[in-house]
Amino acid sequence: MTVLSVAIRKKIYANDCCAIENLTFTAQPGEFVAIVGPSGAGKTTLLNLIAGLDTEMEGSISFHTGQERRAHPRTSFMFQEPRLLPWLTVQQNLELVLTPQQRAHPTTPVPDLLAQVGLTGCAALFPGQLSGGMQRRVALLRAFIIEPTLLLMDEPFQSLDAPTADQLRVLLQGLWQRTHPTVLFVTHSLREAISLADRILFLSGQPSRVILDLPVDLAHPRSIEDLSVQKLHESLMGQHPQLLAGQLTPSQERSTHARSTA
Amino acid sequence: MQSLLKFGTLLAQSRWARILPVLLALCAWQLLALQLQSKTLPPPSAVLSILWQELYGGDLLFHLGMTLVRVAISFGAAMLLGVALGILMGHSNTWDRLLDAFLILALNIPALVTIILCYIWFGLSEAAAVIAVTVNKIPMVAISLREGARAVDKKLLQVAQVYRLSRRDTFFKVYLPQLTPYLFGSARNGLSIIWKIVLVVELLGRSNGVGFQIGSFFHFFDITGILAYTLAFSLVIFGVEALLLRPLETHLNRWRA
Repeated sequence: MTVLSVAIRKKIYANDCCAIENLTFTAQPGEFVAIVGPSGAGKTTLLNLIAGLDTEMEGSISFHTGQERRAHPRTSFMFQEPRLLPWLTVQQNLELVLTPQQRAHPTTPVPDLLAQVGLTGCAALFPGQLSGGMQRRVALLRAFIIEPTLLLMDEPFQSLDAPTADQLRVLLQGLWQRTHPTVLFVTHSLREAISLADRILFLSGQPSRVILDLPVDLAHPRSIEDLSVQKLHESLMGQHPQLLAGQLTPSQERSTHARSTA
Repeated sequence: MQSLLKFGTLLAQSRWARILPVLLALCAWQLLALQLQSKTLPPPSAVLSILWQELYGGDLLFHLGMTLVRVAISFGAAMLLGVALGILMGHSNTWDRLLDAFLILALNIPALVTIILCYIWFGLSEAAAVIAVTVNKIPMVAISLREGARAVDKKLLQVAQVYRLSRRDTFFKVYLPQLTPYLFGSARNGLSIIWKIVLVVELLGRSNGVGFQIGSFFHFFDITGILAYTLAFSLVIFGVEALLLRPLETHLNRWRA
């Protein structure tokens, strides 16, 4: 099992603006980590660095098993937009990310997988023929079909109506519990973070670093409407009213590791 | 009046919409030619009958075939090299800067200059003819594909990178489909320009092909013959468009529906 260690000393954008400074955390194998921060806090940049899409930074991002350093593990990325290839059918989109061996001998046929996420009979359709919610389902399935060790998610359920987003969160929890990849889930919704994650990292504004590392000890699966989720949300907002703007209350800043009370 | 309009819409929707205007133009041409009785404007009926004669008794098929082979080879070579050059320049700023001056120059050198230079340097040979045509067309394909390569969606390439697609899959399934409109644009342009240049090449230095034939007709002021050969080639182009390009395009664009 692979541990992810992130220690970014400095990440500077092309316009000389410092995006990230002294941002450090580790994620245990199979852990669901939500990353919450104000907009412009470099959350997408952070995921791009971890995915290896962006390599220019000072610091290190490494993967370990015990003391042994590992190569980049099998990684999936669910972006803010579904980013399916519009000229390939749903089935071709899913098969595209499989290795040639997996393509030849699939463990579960693609139409069956589609049925599991409520997309029966959609294999031969093009993404343009699907609704936004259905496209996200395909993107979610694409992220899980390669059985990743690390799954990066960048506000994947943004701009969906509430019921559709709820359904997708239920689906995500189901898929995650089956294969248990390490998940880094970027969101700006604290409720969404609480309803999904084992642990929440709160980021400051630019240049961003971790201001609060909060374990969430609630049983899985949860829903955004659960009382426990609501209570934790309220108590957090009461304790740190400026938390989502990237600040712990001035006096309490740097007194980290407030434990959840719910 | 209203029924006439209705008839017009019905007509526009039917398969006659493509054919009827052509037939009307032919009728007008025929009437005008009969009226003028001029040697320089033969009626379409005469052109058709010469076409028929040349097709069965004459060398039309041989010359048309030679021209088509030259068109096919130079078209293939120009598309391949032009697409590669265009992608290279659209993809890399360094290459774009290094080659830009040459591209502009090549684009603006008159076809006649390239043809004559090729014949002088490489002799009056088949290879020289094909090279001359290809060199003329490459910059046009490259210019168009460079725009296409610049417009490629980086976000989809990120998908390919994260999911570690093979280079082959990345190119053929993620990259190339984004260039389809540019490819079809250059293919259509290419076909029309290339056959025009091939004719000049044949006129100047070959002893067969449609260009050579039109040259000989010109010596005898045989306008009917020139028009018959033009018509034959136009029919081939219509065939390529209807049987090859349009079905292929429809197939590749079915996801847009």
